[in-house]
Amino acid sequence: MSAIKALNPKAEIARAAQALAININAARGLQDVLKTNLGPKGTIKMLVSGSGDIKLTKDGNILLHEMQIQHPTASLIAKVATAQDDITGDGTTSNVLIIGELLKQADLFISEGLHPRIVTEGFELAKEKALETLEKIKVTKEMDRNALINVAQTSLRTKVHAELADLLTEVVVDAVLAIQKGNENIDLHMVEIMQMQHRSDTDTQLIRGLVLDHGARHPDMKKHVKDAYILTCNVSMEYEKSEVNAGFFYKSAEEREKLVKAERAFTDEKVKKVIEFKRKVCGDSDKGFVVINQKGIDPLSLDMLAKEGIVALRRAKRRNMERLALACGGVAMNSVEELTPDCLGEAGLVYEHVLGEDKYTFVEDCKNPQSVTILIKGPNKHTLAQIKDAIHDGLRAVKNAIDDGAVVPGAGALEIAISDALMTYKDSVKGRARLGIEAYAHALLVIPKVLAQNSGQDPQETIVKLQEEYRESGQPVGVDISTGEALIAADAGIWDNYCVKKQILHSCTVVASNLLLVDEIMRAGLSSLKG
Amino acid sequence: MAREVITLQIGHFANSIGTHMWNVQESSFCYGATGAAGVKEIDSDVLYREGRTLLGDVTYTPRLIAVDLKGSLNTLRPDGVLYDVETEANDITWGGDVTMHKASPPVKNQFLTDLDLSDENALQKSQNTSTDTPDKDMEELSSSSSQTAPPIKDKIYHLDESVSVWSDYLYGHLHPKSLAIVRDFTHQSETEKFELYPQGKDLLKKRELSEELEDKLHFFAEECDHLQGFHILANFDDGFSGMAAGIVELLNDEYHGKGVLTWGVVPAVSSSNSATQDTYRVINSAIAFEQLSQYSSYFVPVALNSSLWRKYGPALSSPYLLYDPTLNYHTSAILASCIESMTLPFRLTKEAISISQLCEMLSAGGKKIGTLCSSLPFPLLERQSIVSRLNEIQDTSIFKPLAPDVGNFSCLSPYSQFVVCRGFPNNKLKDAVPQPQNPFEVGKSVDEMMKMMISNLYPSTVSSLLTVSQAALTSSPYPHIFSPLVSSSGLIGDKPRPEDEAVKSIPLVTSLQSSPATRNLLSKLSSEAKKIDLRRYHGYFESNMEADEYQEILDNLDSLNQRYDGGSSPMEDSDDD
Ligand SMILES: Nc1ncnc2c1ncn2[C@@H]1O[C@H](COP(=O)(O)OP(=O)(O)O)[C@@H](O)[C@H]1O
Ligand SMILES: [Mg+2]
Repeated sequence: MSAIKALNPKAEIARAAQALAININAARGLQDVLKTNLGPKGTIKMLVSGSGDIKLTKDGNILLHEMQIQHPTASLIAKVATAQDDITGDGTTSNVLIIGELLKQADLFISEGLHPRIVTEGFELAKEKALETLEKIKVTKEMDRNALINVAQTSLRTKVHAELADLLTEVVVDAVLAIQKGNENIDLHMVEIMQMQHRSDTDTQLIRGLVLDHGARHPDMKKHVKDAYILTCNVSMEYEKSEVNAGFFYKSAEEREKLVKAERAFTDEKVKKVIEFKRKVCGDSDKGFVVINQKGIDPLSLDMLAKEGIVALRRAKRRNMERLALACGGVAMNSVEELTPDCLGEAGLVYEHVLGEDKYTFVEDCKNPQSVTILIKGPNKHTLAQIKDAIHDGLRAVKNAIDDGAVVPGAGALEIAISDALMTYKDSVKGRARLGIEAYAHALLVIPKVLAQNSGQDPQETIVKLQEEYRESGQPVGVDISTGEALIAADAGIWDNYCVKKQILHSCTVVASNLLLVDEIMRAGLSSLKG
Repeated sequence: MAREVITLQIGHFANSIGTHMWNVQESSFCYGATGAAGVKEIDSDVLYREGRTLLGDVTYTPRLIAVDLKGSLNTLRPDGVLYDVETEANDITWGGDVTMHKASPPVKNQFLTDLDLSDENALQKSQNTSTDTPDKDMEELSSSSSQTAPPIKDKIYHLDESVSVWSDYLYGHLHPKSLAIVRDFTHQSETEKFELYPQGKDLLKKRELSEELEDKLHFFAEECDHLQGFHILANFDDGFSGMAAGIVELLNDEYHGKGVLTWGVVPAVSSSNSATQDTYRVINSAIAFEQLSQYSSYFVPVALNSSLWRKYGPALSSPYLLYDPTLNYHTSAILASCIESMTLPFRLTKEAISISQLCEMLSAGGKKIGTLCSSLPFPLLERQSIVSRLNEIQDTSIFKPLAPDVGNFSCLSPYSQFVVCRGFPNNKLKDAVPQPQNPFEVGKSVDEMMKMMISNLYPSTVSSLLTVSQAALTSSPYPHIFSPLVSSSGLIGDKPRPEDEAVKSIPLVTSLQSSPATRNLLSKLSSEAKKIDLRRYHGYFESNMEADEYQEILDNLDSLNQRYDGGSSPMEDSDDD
């Protein structure tokens, strides 16, 4: 290697140029794949695997996951875009488009002899300016239900058709509002998403309580309980210990019998404690009593509970224990020794629903549920998955808006504004780094351009209109996807998340710069391996 | 009252073995239906569950959770076809364009093509017969379809070339909740390999996968009235090692008191092609051994190679086996037959012991790592009675260890063992003329004779024996791995079996041992692992695996090892009281 280097010093530059070309190609390749997805008029892709597995999506992140990307550059971009999604829950497609466009614009200058390093210097300056503009343009306001509806709707209409999007919008906003506790950090885990495969029904609803995907395992237990106490616990009501002692050599049949009896009595004792407690709190009233246990309950124990009119569910998921307490109040008990009424939760209605081999238990009519469930019904796996993905995104959008306390005008309005600000800014920058800023300014326009293109408008014409309108009105304007004219994003209620846009600016700049400086990375990579 | 077991398969090779095991179950259903009067020896409800589709059809599928990577399924759909509901194809509503991207369907091999056909036939049959047929289980299904074409298990396939993944030889249907596909890594990817313990462990920290697994576990466990425990097959040298460790730890936590029997598995040829990858395998294995043995009731690493780690030793050889160690399809079949036999004790209809009992019998003194050995097939001769045959066996060398680095195995005397003997033909028990000088002559059954043999061969071992009449089934799509001298019923003949005959079943003896051989294995692994400076392998570092944590794990391995001290004479141990 070093011998070649000495003989032909240009070889390295050639290699770097080649590597750069490869990177640019890979980035643009990804861009081409995702371009058609952007915005509410983007294309939905139906991916059918060799074995017939169907995936319906227009989400960049999901597509990147489904594609089996073998090219290292492409896979790096895909990683960053996925990270974008992990952090903010949105903006993957924009990310990939902007990275591709940044490289393309940079390439125009680099092919004329500009060193990539200068371009990246310009990118860095441009990013700072862009973030500044973002701060100026973002709208800080109180995130009331209406404001949240706008954000959620903007996000959801880019995922599913308008009618469904509007249904989901209400559901996700109300779900987040239900679990919000003052100024505490919103924990979206407290929204359970439950899918139900149903032969004929497609529907999504918000249950102000919990839906568990199991039911009582005793035929005599009631399928419908009104006004019920809920005891959540993590106590084994299964008799199993005996085998621990049984070992290999049973002493004698009687001794073994005795052992079994003792162990059974130990289990029964726990069940009896629950029964006693139920008698105490319910008395002669009509109150129902439901036990939801994280551990097992064996048939004999179920029998005892059923005789007492108690409905019992076993092997509840760990993650539902906390949710149950938040939904109906009370605390999950680790022992049945000291049960007191204040460890009980309450629900107005508990009922069972059976579909094929699946049972569901609805715990509803809770007083002040701080954990809720979004129930999705759909005829097949891919429809359910598509709706579930959309709900995830919607929930994130609502949470982001609340966390940010601000939103950003969408439909390409932010990008037009930043691009405009950069074109002014570049003239104040000395040296060739300004070319990098210019490239950045052009690159961001890819968002409004593609939005226009995907809705059947002429991208160039639209951009010109938007830029003029922006300069004249000074108001952030975006693409009206039904006319190709400029629209005032704020008036149309098209709002994007602030943190999403901010993250996009950061990660696009970093990745594009890294890909431009490819030969230096390779060297850096080598030396760090040695060290 | 079946005591249910939930099976977990974690990793591609684990799934390869598991697939053979399920195939064996399915062929035994047919077997049970066609003949064998009296009660069934084996209770299939231990491993299988009955379910119902949305259309009301009854299903019978393994109580199974199988984890593998994206791209590992070939023709199998992750949610299977059993629970499909017909819906209008055009249920997509969207304001913009919809484009379809269809991967060309992979070609199905002859076996899978025949399976599809027989499924279709069965479907037509069930539609032709009136709709009021209530409980129709697998047995009837497969026997009814067998009237038209020869049953698949009786056909001879040559699948060596056309099997690339386990689903290429999967016989039965899986429940739609059985498969968990990891999307973050691709099967046999060149760019990003799933090759580090922490990669697998970290996946479980992600909400998506951990919730999916929790949902699946919940689904299979909640319906069990008498769940006895978990039967686990897990890769131990790639990224799945970390996932397996995480899952077993979770089981230990959530299902405390249930038995967890874990088999650690690796293919017989190394997938690594660099020294670094060999290093990864050693590190992964060391951590996995420590973690899996800690959180399982019993951990049994199995491999066909005489040594693993940096250099693979030669794969098991036997005069009766003719197989290709580079084919997972072959090697997984051998391991599957032996492992499946060791599950018989807790799957019996009558007098079964539970997984935890089995594990406890073997793990006395904290010796939680076991050794599997077997003689596959058990060399019974066509022309000789069992009584004469057993009399010829003078030492334990017919039992080959299916574990690496076991030292001079046949000279070691296990502390304790559980032996399963199956498929010895009763009609060959004795000769027409009694042989008074043969000590086995006093035995009245296979069981009695085997008891004598085991206690002769292992005088200082605490042994238990289970004798089962059902042979180990090796009918299609089991690979052709037996030498021509093995007859279709698995006995050793004098002349080769006809070309158009396959071996359909074999007599098999397997033994799960707590053996001093483990000391050898652990020392080898630990000394390899200690040579490695973990800090030089940033993959472990990046996911917060500290060097001292690694050191601690190696120390634990050493102390595990010390439990096997006490020389090869187990009498000094306290186990024998
Ligand atoms: N009604 C609308 N009209 C025009 N643009 C919209 C509208 N709703 C959303 N957008 C824009 O669509 C883009 C987001 O599209 P999307 O497909 O979600 O891609 P990403 O993965 O980048 O989030 C944002 O720039 C957003 O402002
Ligand atoms: Mg979006």
